[in-house]
Amino acid sequence: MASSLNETVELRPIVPGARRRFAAPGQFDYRRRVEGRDNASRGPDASISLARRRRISALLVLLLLASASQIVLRRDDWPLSSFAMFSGTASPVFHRIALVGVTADGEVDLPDSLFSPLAQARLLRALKTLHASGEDLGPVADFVQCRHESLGGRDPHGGARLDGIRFVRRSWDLDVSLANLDSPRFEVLFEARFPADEPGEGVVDREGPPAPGGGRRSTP
Amino acid sequence: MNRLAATWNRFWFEPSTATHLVVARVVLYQWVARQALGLRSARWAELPDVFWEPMSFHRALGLPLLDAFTLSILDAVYFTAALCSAAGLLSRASMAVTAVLALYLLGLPNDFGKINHGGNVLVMILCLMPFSRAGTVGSVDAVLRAWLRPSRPRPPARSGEYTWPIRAACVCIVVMYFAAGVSKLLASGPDWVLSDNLSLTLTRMHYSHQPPTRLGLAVAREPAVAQTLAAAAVSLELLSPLAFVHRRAFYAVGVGLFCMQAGIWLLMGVAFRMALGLFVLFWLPWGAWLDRALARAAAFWSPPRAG
Repeated sequence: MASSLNETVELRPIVPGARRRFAAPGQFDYRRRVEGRDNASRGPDASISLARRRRISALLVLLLLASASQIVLRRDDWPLSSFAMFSGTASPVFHRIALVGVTADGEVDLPDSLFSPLAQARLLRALKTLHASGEDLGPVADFVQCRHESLGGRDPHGGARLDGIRFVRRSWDLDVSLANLDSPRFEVLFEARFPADEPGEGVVDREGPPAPGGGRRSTP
Repeated sequence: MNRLAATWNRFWFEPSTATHLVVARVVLYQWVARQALGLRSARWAELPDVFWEPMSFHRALGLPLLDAFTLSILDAVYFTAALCSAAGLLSRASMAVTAVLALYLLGLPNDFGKINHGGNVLVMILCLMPFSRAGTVGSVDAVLRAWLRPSRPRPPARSGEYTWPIRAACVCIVVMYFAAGVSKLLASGPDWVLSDNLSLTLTRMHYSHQPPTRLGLAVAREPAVAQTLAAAAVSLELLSPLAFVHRRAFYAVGVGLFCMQAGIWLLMGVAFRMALGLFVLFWLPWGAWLDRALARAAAFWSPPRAG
């Protein structure tokens, strides 16, 4: 690389007075400083054939058109996207869905490690979608229970045994002083109790009786 | 039409040295390799089917969630390919393998309920790199070629081949910000700026995130300041394509976007580290700086001429 750089600085013909019209990331000005002359806009680059230039141009046009279509159609076809994060106007009420553990003493927050590799945010988005579509959330409870048991049947803080999980919605009226940060309104969307030692026992949801056959039911 | 074609050619194919492209290749792919080490894609195979919700082309092509063993193998191949790309060994093939596996492995987390946008630009750049001649200079391939076939002509010192990938990466970055600006206008119109939207957003982020400062709350208390910042952010995003009209605009837009991104972290606690890294790698004139430094070093160490 160093040899090519030396060649560049020493050997390139330079047309004095010519001006660049475009920003060239990483490529302009240094020659003026090094050699006291401006770099030049040249004619077609002989190091790239016309056919090659056309192929690359077609690729770049495709990229630009695909990106433009995402923007105009407001789509999110990963890895292309309209990057619509934070594009809506914010509401003065903030809702947050959370999954919490239920112990004999109350509720405990569950750490991300329990859901790994799902981050809490990703898990909650999935839960929200499942909940909205009315799907059975039992497999989610099974998953959390399985993970929880792999941690020794204790809540991750080393405290009491988890008896179940709750899928809750916390709501805050946004306050710039954050005075209500620790006192959200609270709504249980779904609850699943982990089975007791005997099969078929302890499988209840929040409102209804134990689900038949040991299954779980969501209670939206 | 000819003028348009000339402008297009000048923009993408203006000859430049390979320095920036070589630096970009080495840094980008060693970064990808390090990321690959911590990927552990096999974990995704352990999740219940209920979470599997393929997105985008994963759904369109019916790509399955592979078993844990296969995913581990793919991780290893991805890591190796990225390392080979960084070193410039079998450059084009290794960059192509990296791109294809990135499309699957980096997309995998997005098949589980939520699409994250932090890696979009990275994947797009990885998909462009195999088409470039990034491995012809400063690579193991170049050394082997010079050794095995000394009679073959050396790659040109300056070429448009070294320019277009860098500019394409910068365009990808600008497209991201421009798209974000247009999305705000389409979704919310002027309300995004003129309402108390930004104040509420800044406050909300203190309920959901942990910003490193309380500056966001200070701004949220002053509606006029918040609206000014909102206007500045949208204007910057919408005007970001001007970066490619003039070199001063290039740096002005670059500084503006960088400050905006840093501000988002300070005020909201959202750090797009990958976007910032790519920004630093492709936007800054590493080629010019290194060329100049090397030229000075060469001049310093060369013996004085007689007479």
